[in-house]
Amino acid sequence: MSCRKIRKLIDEAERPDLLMPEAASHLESCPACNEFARQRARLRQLLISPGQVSAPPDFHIRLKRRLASLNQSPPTPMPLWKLAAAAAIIIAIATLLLLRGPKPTPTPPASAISSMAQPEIQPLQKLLAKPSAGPTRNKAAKHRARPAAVRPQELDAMPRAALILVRRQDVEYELAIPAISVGAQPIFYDLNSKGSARVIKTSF
Amino acid sequence: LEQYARPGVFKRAIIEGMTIVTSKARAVELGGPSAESASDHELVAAIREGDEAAFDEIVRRYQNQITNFMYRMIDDYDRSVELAQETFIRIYTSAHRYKADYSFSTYIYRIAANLAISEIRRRRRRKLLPLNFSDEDGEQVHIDLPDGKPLPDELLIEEERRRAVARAIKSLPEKYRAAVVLRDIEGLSYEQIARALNLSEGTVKSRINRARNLLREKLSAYI
Repeated sequence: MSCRKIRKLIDEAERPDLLMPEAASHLESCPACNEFARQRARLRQLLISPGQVSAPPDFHIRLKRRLASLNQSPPTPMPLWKLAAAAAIIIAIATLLLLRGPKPTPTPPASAISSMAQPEIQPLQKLLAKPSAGPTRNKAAKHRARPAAVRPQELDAMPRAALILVRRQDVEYELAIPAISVGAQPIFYDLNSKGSARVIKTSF
Repeated sequence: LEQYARPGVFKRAIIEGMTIVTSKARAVELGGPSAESASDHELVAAIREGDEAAFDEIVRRYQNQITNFMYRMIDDYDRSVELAQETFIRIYTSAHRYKADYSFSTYIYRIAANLAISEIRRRRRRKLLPLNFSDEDGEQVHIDLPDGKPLPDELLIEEERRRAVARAIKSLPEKYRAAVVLRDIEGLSYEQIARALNLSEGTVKSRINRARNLLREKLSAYI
């Protein structure tokens, strides 16, 4: 065994007075390790030499007194930092909710839809041409979206992963989602106008 | 009452409309087995039931150990006693949180170590001025306040050595200090220290090794 290993054994022994036979025989033949073991033993002795300090005789009485006063004292007000942290969390949650906007209204059941007056189905292209009629577009998000890896004319040939029916008060249209995405941004395209592809939403 | 006061059994018994809380600790009064024979786990279970005699027994068992540990960590007896009491108050008020996954001694040392480390940090923030001055050569000289009582030479030497050991421990970074005090002074196993300080055994061993090397340098005159 190397000296390094022996010293590790000496240092990490659960019972410093008991060494493995290999370590003990090494110490007999290695003065440096022997000196290391001696210094460690002396250090341990030195650390415990001041002796054990005892609790004062009235420790128990004082403890009981403290416990009694603890039970009698009114509940302590919440510390300032805790109040500040709670306020920060509430503000963060409120901001998050505001940024996410209102929840979409739930889709009525199929039976209700069939009984409703069917609105005119318009191509998406047409809707998007009129910014006021279409959904509000996030300009910043539009600039981030770069579906450059797929040419619009190739989209039709790609397998469709999902079909979404978008229904508004006055209009509805179908969106097909091909089984591709750019980053986390799905590409939507309009089934009715062949060959065109527009990013109208940048994330789910 | 005998059946409720048998070893290891803590029960709330309702006998003819009377609620009698029995425990090993309470059994002392009832002539049953004494609290001294109860294990730490049993005593904490009794504390959870509101048994004050069980709490008294826990305090009796650990008050010296915890006071000593605190004293070796912060080198201030009065504050050590206060912190040792704080440790027991935490045991009492959060007995319901104690899980018997590992030994109670590890649990109590964990609370004590956390309190001691907080105290060390608090003192550092307060920047308490140690009684250290520089001599003409720029060397740091530690000044201990004399107690005015003449001491024989042997006692003086012993006191100086005690002060040197305390100073050396105090100079250790807190993360090394707790590990080496728990190992070399309190005699905990590496596993217990790892649990008490919430560290891996490997980290504990390495910290103790570094602490010993630092202490050897600082106490070279005595080794």
